[in-house]
Amino acid sequence: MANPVQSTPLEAASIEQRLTTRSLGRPLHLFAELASTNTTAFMLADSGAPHGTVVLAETQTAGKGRLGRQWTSPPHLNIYCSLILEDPKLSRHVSWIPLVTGLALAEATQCVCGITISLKWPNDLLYLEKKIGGILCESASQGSRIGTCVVGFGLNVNCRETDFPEELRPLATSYHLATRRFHDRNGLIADIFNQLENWYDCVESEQFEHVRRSYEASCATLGREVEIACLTGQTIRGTATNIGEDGALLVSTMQEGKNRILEIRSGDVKHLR
Amino acid sequence: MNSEERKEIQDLVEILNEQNLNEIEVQRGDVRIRVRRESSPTANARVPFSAESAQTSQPAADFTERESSRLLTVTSPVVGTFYRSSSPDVEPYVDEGDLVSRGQILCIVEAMKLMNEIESEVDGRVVKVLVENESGVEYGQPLFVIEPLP
Repeated sequence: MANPVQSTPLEAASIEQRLTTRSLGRPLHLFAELASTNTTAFMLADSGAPHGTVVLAETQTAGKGRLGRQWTSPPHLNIYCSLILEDPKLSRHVSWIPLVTGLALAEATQCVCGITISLKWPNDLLYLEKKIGGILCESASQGSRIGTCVVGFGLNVNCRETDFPEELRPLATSYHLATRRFHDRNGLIADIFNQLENWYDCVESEQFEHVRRSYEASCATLGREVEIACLTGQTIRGTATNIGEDGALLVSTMQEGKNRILEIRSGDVKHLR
Repeated sequence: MNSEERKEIQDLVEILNEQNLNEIEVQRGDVRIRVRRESSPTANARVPFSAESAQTSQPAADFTERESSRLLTVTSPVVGTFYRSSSPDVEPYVDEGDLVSRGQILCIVEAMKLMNEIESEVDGRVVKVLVENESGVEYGQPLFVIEPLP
């Protein structure tokens, strides 16, 4: 499909037409404006929305990132999307969901837009070390069972530099800035769900070796010197070597004169070299 | 939980670890304490690391039939990092002594940036917060003790 000459509107029918999924994107709800697609997805899940339900908005007034951070959501340019997962077999392996979501977003971007996104563990989407998208996975559990999981993602597709607040301009980029073209958001969204369903199937059927190897092949963090900033202010430096059995980042580091392999499951990772 | 009961549970945990057992149950009169080790699905020989400290696997404690009340232990459903509030600059979701209702958020456990909100299964009172904010938790590790209220 030819690239549009400007950012064209999102259309549910245009997305649905290109879906090859069994459940993801069925149904798909498109809103002109929401506070946060993740918040609406949780509300829909509470009122019985099925596994695979998708919430899309042309803009968010209170888009959110991790730990209460804001997500900038200029209207009619980007993708703000949340997906409801209500599958006990999948949620047993919930720690893989952020990673395979990043993998699917990177694959669909490559396939539809020809842009190579770099995946920083676990699910940061970078282009030339600038943030081009973000993923926020949230779940709720009672007892030891994880119930609803909402996978939210924001992709900076057609926004120009002036659409970002000034303080974000040195840190953020978009598909448009990377290619100087506008991209068809409807086709990209459909392909994301087509890819995502394949990866969720792999996790659900416990093909962890395949998932791990595929993620390792796409993850720009491996083999790099990294610094991990913990919320306590503590930092760890070492070499990222592999991905662990549950998706943890394995980092080789020296502690008290001995080489140790640490399993990292949280904290902000910075690529040093 | 008073200090004597806490000590007794700690002693049982030590025996469990020393003898490499999976479960111990002790009953004295109408008090029964069961301490059980829940193996993580991802357990291996490597060192789990999180913000606060590296921790070894800890057993989960179940409390049953303690006098007229029944204490519930809330355990972690994933290996990850424990947060008592939604962001570093806001108040904790709950404190010891707080009344909570069923479905109310008690904490977040983060794994690979997935933020998992843990909700209370019952109406009750928070008797004990067992884990420091921002520390690493294992699968099945006890996080809170809740006293269910009618």
